[in-house]
Amino acid sequence: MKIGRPTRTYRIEPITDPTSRAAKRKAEARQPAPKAVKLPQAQTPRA
Amino acid sequence: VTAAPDYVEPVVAWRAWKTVRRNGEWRLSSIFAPTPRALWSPRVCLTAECLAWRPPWEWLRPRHEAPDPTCECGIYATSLDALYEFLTPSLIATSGGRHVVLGRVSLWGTVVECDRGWRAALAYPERLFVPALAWRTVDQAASVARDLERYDVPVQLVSGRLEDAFTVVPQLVRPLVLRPAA
Repeated sequence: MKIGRPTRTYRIEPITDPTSRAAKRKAEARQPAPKAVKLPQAQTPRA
Repeated sequence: VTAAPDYVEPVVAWRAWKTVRRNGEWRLSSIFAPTPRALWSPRVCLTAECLAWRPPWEWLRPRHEAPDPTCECGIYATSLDALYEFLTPSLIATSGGRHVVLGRVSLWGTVVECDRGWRAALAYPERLFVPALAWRTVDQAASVARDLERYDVPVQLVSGRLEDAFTVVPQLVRPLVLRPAA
Protein backbone atom coordinates (compact mmCIF):
# COMPACT_ATOMS: atom_id res chain seq x y z
CA MET A 1 0.00 0.00 0.00
CA LYS A 2 1.40 3.37 -0.96
CA ILE A 3 0.98 5.87 1.86
CA GLY A 4 3.65 8.34 0.86
CA ARG A 5 6.70 9.65 2.60
CA PRO A 6 7.09 9.91 6.38
CA THR A 7 6.30 13.32 7.78
CA ARG A 8 6.81 12.74 11.52
CA THR A 9 7.16 10.00 14.11
CA TYR A 10 5.51 9.89 17.52
CA ARG A 11 5.00 7.58 20.45
CA ILE A 12 1.48 6.65 21.58
CA GLU A 13 0.84 4.91 24.90
CA PRO A 14 -2.93 4.53 25.31
CA ILE A 15 -4.24 4.87 28.86
CA THR A 16 -6.36 1.76 28.30
CA ASP A 17 -5.11 -1.02 26.07
CA PRO A 18 -7.16 -0.97 22.83
CA THR A 19 -7.24 -4.79 22.89
CA SER A 20 -9.00 -4.96 26.26
CA ARG A 21 -11.00 -1.83 25.44
CA ALA A 22 -12.66 -3.73 22.62
CA ALA A 23 -13.67 -6.58 24.94
CA LYS A 24 -14.97 -4.15 27.57
CA ARG A 25 -17.06 -2.24 25.04
CA LYS A 26 -18.59 -5.49 23.79
CA ALA A 27 -19.40 -6.64 27.32
CA GLU A 28 -21.08 -3.31 28.05
CA ALA A 29 -23.17 -3.61 24.90
CA ARG A 30 -24.41 -7.03 26.08
CA GLN A 31 -25.52 -5.76 29.50
CA PRO A 32 -29.15 -4.65 29.78
CA ALA A 33 -29.74 -0.98 30.55
CA PRO A 34 -30.09 -0.35 34.32
CA LYS A 35 -33.67 -0.11 35.55
CA ALA A 36 -34.93 3.20 36.84
CA VAL A 37 -35.22 3.27 40.62
CA LYS A 38 -38.26 4.98 42.05
CA LEU A 39 -37.21 7.33 44.82
CA PRO A 40 -39.54 7.92 47.79
CA GLN A 41 -41.40 11.17 47.52
CA ALA A 42 -40.26 13.95 49.81
CA GLN A 43 -42.76 14.72 52.58
CA THR A 44 -43.57 18.29 53.36
CA PRO A 45 -43.30 19.03 57.08
CA ARG A 46 -46.59 19.84 58.79
CA ALA A 47 -47.02 23.29 60.22
CA VAL B 1 13.17 7.34 33.71
CA THR B 2 11.22 6.85 30.49
CA ALA B 3 10.21 9.55 28.04
CA ALA B 4 6.62 10.70 28.22
CA PRO B 5 4.44 9.59 25.28
CA ASP B 6 3.35 12.16 22.71
CA TYR B 7 -0.28 10.97 22.82
CA VAL B 8 -2.45 8.77 25.04
CA GLU B 9 -5.14 7.82 22.50
CA PRO B 10 -4.49 5.47 19.57
CA VAL B 11 -4.71 6.66 15.98
CA VAL B 12 -7.81 5.08 14.39
CA ALA B 13 -7.72 4.67 10.60
CA TRP B 14 -8.94 2.36 7.84
CA ARG B 15 -7.43 -0.76 6.36
CA ALA B 16 -8.45 -3.97 4.59
CA TRP B 17 -7.70 -7.54 5.59
CA LYS B 18 -7.72 -10.81 3.77
CA THR B 19 -9.65 -13.51 5.64
CA VAL B 20 -8.11 -16.96 5.88
CA ARG B 21 -9.24 -20.26 7.42
CA ARG B 22 -7.26 -21.30 10.51
CA ASN B 23 -8.33 -24.27 12.65
CA GLY B 24 -11.76 -24.24 11.04
CA GLU B 25 -12.43 -20.54 11.67
CA TRP B 26 -12.03 -17.36 9.64
CA ARG B 27 -9.21 -15.09 10.80
CA LEU B 28 -7.80 -11.75 9.68
CA SER B 29 -4.55 -11.69 7.75
CA SER B 30 -2.52 -9.12 5.89
CA ILE B 31 -3.30 -8.81 2.18
CA PHE B 32 0.26 -8.01 1.23
CA ALA B 33 2.33 -10.04 3.71
CA PRO B 34 0.64 -13.46 3.69
CA THR B 35 2.99 -15.05 6.22
CA PRO B 36 1.90 -16.74 9.48
CA ARG B 37 3.48 -13.77 11.30
CA ALA B 38 0.99 -11.43 9.62
CA LEU B 39 -2.01 -13.35 11.02
CA TRP B 40 -4.09 -11.29 13.45
CA SER B 41 -5.09 -13.25 16.56
CA PRO B 42 -8.26 -12.49 18.54
CA ARG B 43 -7.70 -10.46 21.75
CA VAL B 44 -3.96 -10.07 21.03
CA CYS B 45 -2.48 -6.94 19.49
CA LEU B 46 -0.36 -7.46 16.40
CA THR B 47 3.28 -6.40 16.80
CA ALA B 48 5.05 -5.16 13.69
CA GLU B 49 8.20 -6.85 12.45
CA CYS B 50 10.39 -5.72 9.60
CA LEU B 51 9.91 -8.30 6.83
CA ALA B 52 11.97 -6.40 4.27
CA TRP B 53 14.40 -8.43 2.14
CA ARG B 54 18.01 -8.38 3.39
CA PRO B 55 21.18 -9.57 1.69
CA PRO B 56 22.61 -12.80 3.22
CA TRP B 57 25.62 -11.01 4.77
CA GLU B 58 23.22 -9.07 7.01
CA TRP B 59 21.30 -12.13 8.27
CA LEU B 60 23.38 -12.38 11.43
CA ARG B 61 22.63 -8.81 12.44
CA PRO B 62 19.40 -8.22 14.34
CA ARG B 63 16.63 -6.48 12.45
CA HIS B 64 15.68 -2.94 13.38
CA GLU B 65 12.53 -2.23 15.35
CA ALA B 66 9.43 -1.67 13.23
CA PRO B 67 8.36 0.81 12.05
CA ASP B 68 11.49 2.63 11.01
CA PRO B 69 11.03 5.92 9.14
CA THR B 70 13.82 4.97 6.71
CA CYS B 71 12.26 1.55 5.90
CA GLU B 72 8.80 0.56 4.64
CA CYS B 73 7.95 -1.70 7.58
CA GLY B 74 5.10 -1.40 10.08
CA ILE B 75 1.38 -2.08 10.24
CA TYR B 76 -0.32 0.08 7.61
CA ALA B 77 -3.56 2.09 7.77
CA THR B 78 -4.91 5.00 5.78
CA SER B 79 -8.06 7.01 5.02
CA LEU B 80 -11.10 5.33 3.43
CA ASP B 81 -10.62 7.35 0.22
CA ALA B 82 -7.00 6.31 -0.14
CA LEU B 83 -7.94 2.67 0.52
CA TYR B 84 -10.63 2.81 -2.18
CA GLU B 85 -8.12 4.11 -4.74
CA PHE B 86 -5.66 1.41 -3.82
CA LEU B 87 -7.90 -1.68 -3.63
CA THR B 88 -8.56 -2.15 -7.32
CA PRO B 89 -10.35 -5.37 -8.40
CA SER B 90 -7.21 -6.60 -10.18
CA LEU B 91 -5.12 -6.08 -7.05
CA ILE B 92 -7.63 -7.99 -4.93
CA ALA B 93 -7.65 -10.82 -7.49
CA THR B 94 -3.84 -11.07 -7.50
CA SER B 95 -3.57 -10.92 -3.72
CA GLY B 96 -5.10 -14.35 -3.36
CA GLY B 97 -8.84 -14.05 -3.64
CA ARG B 98 -11.81 -11.86 -3.04
CA HIS B 99 -12.34 -12.66 0.64
CA VAL B 100 -11.47 -9.17 1.82
CA VAL B 101 -13.03 -7.30 4.74
CA LEU B 102 -12.83 -3.61 5.52
CA GLY B 103 -12.42 -2.06 8.91
CA ARG B 104 -10.97 0.46 11.24
CA VAL B 105 -7.84 -0.26 13.21
CA SER B 106 -6.29 1.25 16.34
CA LEU B 107 -2.59 2.03 15.98
CA TRP B 108 -0.19 2.75 18.82
CA GLY B 109 3.38 2.37 20.05
CA THR B 110 5.80 4.01 17.65
CA VAL B 111 3.76 5.49 14.82
CA VAL B 112 5.25 6.89 11.60
CA GLU B 113 2.85 9.37 10.06
CA CYS B 114 3.13 9.61 6.27
CA ASP B 115 1.55 11.84 3.59
CA ARG B 116 -1.44 9.50 3.14
CA GLY B 117 -1.49 7.18 6.16
CA TRP B 118 0.38 5.63 9.05
CA ARG B 119 2.79 2.78 9.82
CA ALA B 120 2.64 1.56 13.41
CA ALA B 121 4.35 -0.82 15.82
CA LEU B 122 1.15 -2.16 17.45
CA ALA B 123 -2.36 -2.56 16.11
CA TYR B 124 -5.74 -4.12 16.84
CA PRO B 125 -9.04 -3.98 14.88
CA GLU B 126 -11.53 -1.40 16.11
CA ARG B 127 -14.51 -2.33 13.91
CA LEU B 128 -15.05 -4.70 10.95
CA PHE B 129 -17.31 -4.69 7.89
CA VAL B 130 -17.93 -7.89 5.91
CA PRO B 131 -19.16 -7.34 2.32
CA ALA B 132 -21.89 -9.96 1.81
CA LEU B 133 -21.13 -10.61 -1.87
CA ALA B 134 -17.42 -11.20 -1.31
CA TRP B 135 -18.41 -14.81 -0.52
CA ARG B 136 -20.32 -17.43 -2.47
CA THR B 137 -23.50 -16.99 -0.47
CA VAL B 138 -24.83 -14.47 2.04
CA ASP B 139 -25.04 -17.32 4.60
CA GLN B 140 -21.33 -17.97 4.19
CA ALA B 141 -20.61 -14.25 4.64
CA ALA B 142 -22.73 -14.30 7.81
CA SER B 143 -20.71 -17.27 9.09
CA VAL B 144 -17.50 -15.31 8.44
CA ALA B 145 -18.92 -12.33 10.35
CA ARG B 146 -19.77 -14.65 13.29
CA ASP B 147 -16.20 -16.03 13.36
CA LEU B 148 -14.77 -12.49 13.30
CA GLU B 149 -16.80 -11.62 16.43
CA ARG B 150 -14.04 -13.43 18.34
CA TYR B 151 -12.01 -10.24 17.98
CA ASP B 152 -14.49 -8.65 20.44
CA VAL B 153 -15.13 -5.67 18.18
CA PRO B 154 -18.35 -4.70 16.35
CA VAL B 155 -18.69 -6.76 13.16
CA GLN B 156 -21.26 -5.73 10.58
CA LEU B 157 -22.40 -7.50 7.43
CA VAL B 158 -22.89 -4.98 4.61
CA SER B 159 -24.81 -5.68 1.43
CA GLY B 160 -23.04 -5.85 -1.90
CA ARG B 161 -19.49 -6.35 -3.03
CA LEU B 162 -16.32 -4.86 -1.56
CA GLU B 163 -16.58 -1.87 -3.94
CA ASP B 164 -20.14 -1.19 -2.72
CA ALA B 165 -19.01 -1.30 0.92
CA PHE B 166 -16.95 1.86 0.38
CA THR B 167 -20.15 3.85 -0.17
CA VAL B 168 -22.08 2.15 2.64
CA VAL B 169 -19.66 2.15 5.56
CA PRO B 170 -19.16 5.95 5.87
CA GLN B 171 -22.89 6.15 6.70
CA LEU B 172 -22.55 3.54 9.45
CA VAL B 173 -19.76 5.16 11.45
CA ARG B 174 -19.01 8.55 12.89
CA PRO B 175 -16.34 10.45 10.95
CA LEU B 176 -12.84 9.92 12.25
CA VAL B 177 -10.45 12.55 13.43
CA LEU B 178 -7.60 11.16 11.40
CA ARG B 179 -4.75 12.99 13.10
CA PRO B 180 -4.20 13.22 16.83
CA ALA B 181 -4.70 16.70 18.22
CA ALA B 182 -1.45 18.66 18.21
